[in-house]
Amino acid sequence: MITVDLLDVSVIVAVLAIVIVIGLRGYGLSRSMTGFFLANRELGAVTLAFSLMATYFSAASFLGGGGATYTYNLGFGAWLTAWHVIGVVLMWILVAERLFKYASKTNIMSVPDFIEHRYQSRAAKAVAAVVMMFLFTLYLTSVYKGGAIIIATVFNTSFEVGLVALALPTLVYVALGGLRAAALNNLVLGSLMLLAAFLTFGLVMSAVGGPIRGIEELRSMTINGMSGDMWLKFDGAGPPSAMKAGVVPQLIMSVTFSISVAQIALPSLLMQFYAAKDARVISRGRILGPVLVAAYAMAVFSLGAFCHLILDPTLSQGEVAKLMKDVDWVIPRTVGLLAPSGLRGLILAAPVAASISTLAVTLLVLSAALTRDVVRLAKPNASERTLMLLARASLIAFAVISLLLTLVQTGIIVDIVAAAFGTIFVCFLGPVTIGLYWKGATRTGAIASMISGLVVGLSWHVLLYKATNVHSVIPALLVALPTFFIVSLLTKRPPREVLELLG
Amino acid sequence: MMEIDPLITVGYAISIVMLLVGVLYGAYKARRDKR
Repeated sequence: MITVDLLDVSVIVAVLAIVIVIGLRGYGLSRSMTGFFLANRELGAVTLAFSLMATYFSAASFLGGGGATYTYNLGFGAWLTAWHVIGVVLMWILVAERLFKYASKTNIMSVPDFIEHRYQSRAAKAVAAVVMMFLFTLYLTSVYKGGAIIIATVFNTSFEVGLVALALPTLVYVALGGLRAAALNNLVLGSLMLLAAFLTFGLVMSAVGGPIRGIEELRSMTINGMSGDMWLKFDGAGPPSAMKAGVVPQLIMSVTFSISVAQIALPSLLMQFYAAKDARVISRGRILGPVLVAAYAMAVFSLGAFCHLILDPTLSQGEVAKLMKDVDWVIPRTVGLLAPSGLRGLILAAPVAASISTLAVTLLVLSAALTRDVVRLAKPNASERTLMLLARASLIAFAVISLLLTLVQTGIIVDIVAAAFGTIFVCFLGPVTIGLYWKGATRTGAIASMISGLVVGLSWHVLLYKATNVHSVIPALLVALPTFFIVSLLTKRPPREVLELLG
Repeated sequence: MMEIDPLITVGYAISIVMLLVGVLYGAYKARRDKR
């Protein structure tokens, strides 16, 4: 499918080796809970901004995100980019500073910690921790899958071996080095992802003669029995079921919104703001953070449509139709055709890097949820040493559980990410993001919002998503947010001294 | 002549405008915080 040589393989092996070396360096600084989960609260602006970008973008952003417009019209790429930029700007403007200040005043370490303190409720904390553990474990399966298929292809081995090759180095560095190692690695891996994004954009655009020429060529093509013009119409190309029902625009808007704006309430991102060294870090990150996300999104998310010009002449009609159903292979195959030896390895290392960086921080969040939030609730007197041991052990346990779940998963990466990912956003948008501003928010409102968001988000995805072509985040938000406001208005607020911390 | 659906163009335009808003607001806040 993709021909790689020794140099390409060496580049990917080098990336995996670098992450382990960085992890070992972080070990000495990660022997306390604050050191392990929050890098001793010493992250600088550049590290934090890159780490957030690398955490947010998993392999799905490169594979599913990059290949999506092979099936969808360019509107998908345009709006996926737009919602991502809106999400990252709102996250840095509305959430970063407030959350950092709150964390500085209260010594909280995790998002459930914030919920416990903000709402003065252990029950709300427990619900938050359980919701997070459940959804992030599901989400990790897709993160694993993206990186593993690339490793399996490059090393010409089975998917299972690819999974282990991805999981082992990640586990070694994150279990030893905690957030310090994860954030430093994310700086390296995030830089690699950006470089690969620009290289891929450059290769594709030079192959098609630039975006304007490419669009003109696309229009004159016939793709899978359709005019290429359909890729330039917002109600044009899309999945066959949505085209038949005439709901391509609705599908595009609901899917792109759901997988992009999650940034403003995703615990794996929000927790990293606690690790900022000081307020100046937030101030500088506010400029750099949006630039990184926007640059990556603009380079990657619209490439799929242009890949028709490169790939289709080399494929049969049946192969094009097959690729349009499973777009994850569009970018790797295009890179396989266009990039020279070595560069090809560097670009293919990007989805692996993206998987590793997301995997590492998500495992830390899961470990924090269990150790900080659940075990400490049950055993408040547990020693720091016991908790640290449990933190590293639970991290490995979560990695193994999600790895086993990955082996029984099928389907397009971007869809799986969207289900768990979007639901996490729905569950935490009210209690955390709105709760940072609205003093009227109460613990009962927060609990009701998390539970209703979880139930509606997952059940809609399973039962109604395919029939309605409306992403589950939309109905889940329409239930969880009014629930949050109405229940909060009807129940008792936390004490005034807590609310004063909100500013 | 290239004709792209305006709703697609709007998506790209919003990306650029929002990025500018984010960066300019960030720069303004950073300057104010410095004082």
